[in-house]
Amino acid sequence: MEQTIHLTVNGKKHELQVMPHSTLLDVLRDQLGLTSVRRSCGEGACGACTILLNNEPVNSCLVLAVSVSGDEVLTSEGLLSGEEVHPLMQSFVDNHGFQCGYCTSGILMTSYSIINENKSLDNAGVRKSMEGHMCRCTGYVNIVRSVQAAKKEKDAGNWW
Amino acid sequence: MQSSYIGARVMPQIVYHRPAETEDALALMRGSDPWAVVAGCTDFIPAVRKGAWTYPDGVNVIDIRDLPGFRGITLEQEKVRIGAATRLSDIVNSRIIEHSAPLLSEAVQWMASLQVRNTATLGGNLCTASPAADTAPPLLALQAELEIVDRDGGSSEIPLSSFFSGPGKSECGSGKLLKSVSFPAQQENDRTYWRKMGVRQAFTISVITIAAKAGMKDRTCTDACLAFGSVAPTPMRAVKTEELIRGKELTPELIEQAADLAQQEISPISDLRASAQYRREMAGVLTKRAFKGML
Repeated sequence: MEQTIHLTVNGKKHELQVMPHSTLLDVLRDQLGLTSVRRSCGEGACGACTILLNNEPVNSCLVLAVSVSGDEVLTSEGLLSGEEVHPLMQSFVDNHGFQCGYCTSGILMTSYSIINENKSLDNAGVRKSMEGHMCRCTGYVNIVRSVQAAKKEKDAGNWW
Repeated sequence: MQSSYIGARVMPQIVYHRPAETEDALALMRGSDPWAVVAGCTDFIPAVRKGAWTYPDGVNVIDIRDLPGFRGITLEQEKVRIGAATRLSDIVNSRIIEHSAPLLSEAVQWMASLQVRNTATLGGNLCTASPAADTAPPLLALQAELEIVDRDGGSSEIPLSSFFSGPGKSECGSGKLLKSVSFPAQQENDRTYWRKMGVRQAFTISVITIAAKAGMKDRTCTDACLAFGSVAPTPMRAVKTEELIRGKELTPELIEQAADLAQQEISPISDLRASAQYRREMAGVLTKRAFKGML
């Protein structure tokens, strides 16, 4: 019943035995222990399980793990450099871009993508890109600020 | 390990197939029961979790995203062709669509979310056949034709306007595959209008959507297509309204008449998003805005 897939997760190659009905979310959390990938609505409405699949943000709850063999996944654990916090994460700390933090690891991944892709980062642009994320604490204002401040860090060369 | 969600069903047992050839996909559909054709899975996974689609004895999932000719966007001889398994984000990012079908580009940009668009496909949106399918009104207004592969591998073209047969029901319900969607590129004299109303702006299900395309010569409408979503059992074209204005000068009186007729042509229901009365009212307002915008 189990199928073998190959997945590069946060730069490390894995050979995994997965059930065909398992979502990428299930595999990342339950088999690889990457608990920053949050389980919430399970139907792509909240964005808490957002990861980068081949550098693009997707809801990992809406992806069958067997369908992405050979692909590359980045989760917010992969943003850390050893013990060092990524400048994007530091920006969310400095700008109060989160309160409870449940949605944050997903929001970080979309933020990382739109900053790297040079998407529009004015107020409306960040909000449009965040359309697939729900944050019930912040009211989004400080999330927008955090993303914009992180872009300045990137432009200053403090980025990886 | 089988994970479960509070308040949601577990996934059914799945046998996952990813055929490389269309014939292999058709053979799987003929030889297995039950089966489900998928591409992005963004409708499939929520539907089985909610129990809207049930497979108590498991299901053969046939992933068609690798089939030849099912992906990509081309422009040839003033005709745009989009493979059914093309992702929504590829449509948004396509220069061809931006130039040759800005109506579709705008509609898809405001559809679902960034994450869902990176996964979901055009064909999936059409084959799920929701009355609120966001790609349907613009494609109806563009007079899109669908390339359908039947059970035996034969290919045929049908207009999108005859594809839907009811909520969740389409030509592809019975062992056929939607291969591609094509439509004429926008011409210089074409004017278009699109508006989706929801309970909020982003990532929302349509309360009513309008998409219109008209060929204009001065103030005369030489050709008109008017489509609606979420106001009938299927996405629909308002053909009587189209006939009323075709070949005529768009006077304020004619636009008023068109709005009245469009309100009669639709058959909206009341649901948790809006009342039928509100939808009918808005159909009139949006029809007026659409044709005033073409002048």
